[in-house]
Amino acid sequence: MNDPQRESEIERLLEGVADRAPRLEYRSRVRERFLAGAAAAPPVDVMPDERVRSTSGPRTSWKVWVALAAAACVVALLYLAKPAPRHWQVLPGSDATALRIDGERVSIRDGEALAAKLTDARSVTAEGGSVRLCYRDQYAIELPDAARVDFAAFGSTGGVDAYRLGVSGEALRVVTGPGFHGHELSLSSGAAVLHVTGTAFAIDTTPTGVCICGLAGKIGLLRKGTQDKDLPLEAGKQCFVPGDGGAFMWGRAEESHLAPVRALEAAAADHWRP
Amino acid sequence: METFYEAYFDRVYGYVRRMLGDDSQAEDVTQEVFLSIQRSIDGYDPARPLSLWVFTIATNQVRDHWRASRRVDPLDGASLDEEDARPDPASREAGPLPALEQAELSATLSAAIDELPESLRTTLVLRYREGLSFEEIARMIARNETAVRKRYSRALEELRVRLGRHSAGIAGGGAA
Repeated sequence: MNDPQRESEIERLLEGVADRAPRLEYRSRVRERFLAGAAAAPPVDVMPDERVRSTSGPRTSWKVWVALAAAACVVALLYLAKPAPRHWQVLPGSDATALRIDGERVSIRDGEALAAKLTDARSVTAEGGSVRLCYRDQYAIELPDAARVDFAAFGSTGGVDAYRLGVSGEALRVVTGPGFHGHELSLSSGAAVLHVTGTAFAIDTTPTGVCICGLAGKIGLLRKGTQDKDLPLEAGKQCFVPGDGGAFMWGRAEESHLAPVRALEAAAADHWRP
Repeated sequence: METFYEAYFDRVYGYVRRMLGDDSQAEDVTQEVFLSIQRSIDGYDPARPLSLWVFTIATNQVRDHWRASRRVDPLDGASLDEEDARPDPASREAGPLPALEQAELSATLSAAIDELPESLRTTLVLRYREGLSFEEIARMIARNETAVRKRYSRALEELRVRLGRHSAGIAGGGAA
């Protein structure tokens, strides 16, 4: 019996394998919450054996309840006083003086304002030098002076976050982080579109086209406006995408393009280290 | 939304339960999947297949759970790259499958699926249960299509071998 036959035999048997059904009570409570909207209903308790709650026992004194309520108030106050987590952070090695975020100039030294502005930013331009920005543990980018990145779509839903960035200016260096996996990042620069699934690379723009050099992982490359299949760019390789529609040119990655990516990778790794 | 829920809830729960092997964790993660769907529904691109979108979210949540509980993502290890580079699985045990009663066969097969390494199990379940293409699975787990095909073949071969062992165990036990 050959392999396809053996495989189809197992596949046939798999049709008879049933998945375990959810508990009806749990299913209907999640349904209620889902249809009502997340904010409208509290989280659903899961299996009772994992979330044991006492249903009997000695009655608790009112003093204990008062103490617990006071403690809860203190915790709530501490929580409210705590600054919101910064999704965006400036990494060491940035020498820009400011960022222009959606047209507004924000000093690089004003971390609070930067984090707040970057949260809803649609475009960011580095001014007075390069800047290294880190988004959660998902990725880090470096923008040289006057380079600009446009956030065409920037999901932060907790689900399938599709990040679509447009790049203009001299260059952009990108390193994905430990939390990136499973998300989608695509960048467009000049005539090139890059699909990234976890990697480190440099995009350098020239008057005649865009040069992409891979340091780690793989990138899927596509000419803008086409429906072709992605062409893979491997680590250590370079692809030049001419702006005039000419064929992609492949070669060895340029060390001068990779060096800044290595430096960014090191800075980001330090930042992400637990 | 109601139609969507009815169409997908049991499938997503079955998938998550199969991946995590634990009812309580499956309930937690499935709930997160549906909250995530609710939050990101506006960003859903109707040009993409709905089931691919839903199961990408489910897979991401399962992986987040793995990472949070073990700080390791079984779909994202160097060992898996080596695994992908391995040739197609050789036929380790020739001959027909053992003759077992249907109910016993299903139970044995179900247990065998649960024992597969996570990377093989993910590929197998997304393929045979959800009917996703190799290309779709490859995009979902950031591997190339060839590697996903190999994983699927390996998963099927592992199941065949485990069924064979089970049958041999029964025969051995009966003879003793």
